[in-house]
Amino acid sequence: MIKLIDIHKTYNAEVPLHVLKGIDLEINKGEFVSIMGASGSGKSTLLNILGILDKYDSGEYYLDGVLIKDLSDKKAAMYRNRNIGFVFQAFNLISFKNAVDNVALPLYYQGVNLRKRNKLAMKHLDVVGLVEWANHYPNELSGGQKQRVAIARALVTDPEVILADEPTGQLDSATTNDVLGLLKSINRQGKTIVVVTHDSAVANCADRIIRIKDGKIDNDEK
Amino acid sequence: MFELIKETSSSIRKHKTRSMLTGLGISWGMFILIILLGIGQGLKEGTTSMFSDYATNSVWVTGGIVKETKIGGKPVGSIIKFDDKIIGMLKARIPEIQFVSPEVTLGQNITTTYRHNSGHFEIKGVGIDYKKIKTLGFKVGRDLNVKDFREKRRNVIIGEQVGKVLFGQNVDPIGKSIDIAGVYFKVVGVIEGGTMYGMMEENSIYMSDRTLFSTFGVERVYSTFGLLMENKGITVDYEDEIRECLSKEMGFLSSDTRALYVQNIQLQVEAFNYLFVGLNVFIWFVGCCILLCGIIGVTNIMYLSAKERSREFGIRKAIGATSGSILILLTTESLVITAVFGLLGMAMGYFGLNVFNEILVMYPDSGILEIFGQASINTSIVIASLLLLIACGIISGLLPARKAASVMPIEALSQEN
Repeated sequence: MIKLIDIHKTYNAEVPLHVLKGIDLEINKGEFVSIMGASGSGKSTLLNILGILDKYDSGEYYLDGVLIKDLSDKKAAMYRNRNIGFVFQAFNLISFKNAVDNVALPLYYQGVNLRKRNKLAMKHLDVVGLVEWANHYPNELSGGQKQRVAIARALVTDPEVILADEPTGQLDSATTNDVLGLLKSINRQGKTIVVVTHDSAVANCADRIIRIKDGKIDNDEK
Repeated sequence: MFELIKETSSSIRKHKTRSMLTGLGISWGMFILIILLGIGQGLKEGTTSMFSDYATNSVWVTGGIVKETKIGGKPVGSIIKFDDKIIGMLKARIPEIQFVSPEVTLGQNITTTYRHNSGHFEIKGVGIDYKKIKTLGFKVGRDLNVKDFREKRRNVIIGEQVGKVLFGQNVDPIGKSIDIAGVYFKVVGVIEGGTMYGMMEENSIYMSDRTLFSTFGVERVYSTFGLLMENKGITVDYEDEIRECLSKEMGFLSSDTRALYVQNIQLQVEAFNYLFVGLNVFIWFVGCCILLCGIIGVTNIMYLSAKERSREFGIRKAIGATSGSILILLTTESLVITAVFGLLGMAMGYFGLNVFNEILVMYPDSGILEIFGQASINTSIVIASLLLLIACGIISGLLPARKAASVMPIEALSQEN
């Protein structure tokens, strides 16, 4: 599903920062992988590259057999939309849209009509258990609810891969368990899940833990 | 499309005050543009109507006083007057002349009386072709006809003001006899006033030139005559030709500009047309400059809006928005702001013009109405302004939008607001 060959990434600041120093990685369909590492280890950068939110300098990244490199704006948008669902630490819902509109937004960029969009969005809100909250705006939802809306949004286009960057980083332990349970059940339905975390409790839910240290894979265990 | 409007309106609603203040800049610019264009149009119509009494290809010649001598010519101080022989000669020399009519003015301070009312009016004798050179509008009654000319009938047509002075509001002047310098004439028609040039006509009494000469026994000479030239579709300046011809024949220098006055209506109309083209260009320039301030305001706000919303655009891109869709989203926002407030400005401008017209109408005797006509905007101005607005909206949105749309999603997401 995901294949990385010798990925390098340097941030061009005043002092150039070499974040990823040659990552080789293969993730199969249906795996639940967690990426762990200290802050600054490059784990988030790696996830952003996987999500086509950021560019890499050298190496090769294949997503579902397609080389993701120097994509046109349209192609990049299409892969982000159809192949990947991204879950952020800060939820990143759009504040002036209610839950159902937030969930439906990826479908808008596919050109799906309003009625079908709302139907699919409601279906996925049901999956995360928030149907009654469909017309509430993000500021009326709790952290756990926001993250569940964000997960519904990630799922709505039925992508193969769900990428989550510290999905429980802003949640208390009770809601953390809810969100983790949700991710597990999604994984059981066949989706590939990659979670970046520094919380070993979260990492332990995964089938496979990859540890990153100083921009390299330090340890890869199942 | 509907989605786009929904997205845009929710963003504008989020920043009500800001969007409104920005939009007011556009409204103001549009308001000024419409007001200027409307008044310019009114001014043009008013001025053009001043000439409406004249056939556009007519030329008027008036004799003056000789100021420079010529060997064998008339002495300084001679008054130039024309007679039928000179006119006949001129007509033979200049084949483009189609019709000629003298305009004879009878003396000064002639008293005209109807019962107890009297006044001093211009008494004019005109040729049978006069109406082809100058169009007199009739309020009531008829024009002088062939019989009036041929049989030297003592029938007259009078200006509107003459009618008011002699007959007041309640008496119908038609068929009434008036006393001009001791001779009775019958009123057959009343001429409409209304234009600036018409002020002269309002105070005039017209009769056949032959009636005038035979009744008052004056010499058959006159200081003014009108010519109707062949319509060639282009403006021809006959002044030099006429001046050359008459000066040679009558014995004054053709360079003596005070001996002869030639008024070419077509040239004057054309000069006014050029003036109004120039005025129009100037008005558009000023209007667009004011509008430009509004556009700069909108562009500024769009930059701010793009920066503020960069996180939102990052999210949108992360879930599959193309740069193009972000570009359209922001450009639409500025387009909606400019269009809504621009239309508001146009409406206010339209309203302002109506108020202006109302004020003009309140002072009907000031003469302003004649110069300004009715301030108005026509469809082509409205369409041109609308196109201008759309262009403004797109231009002011495009630059900030391009900047916002081109960044990688992660950069946009990590921006601090």
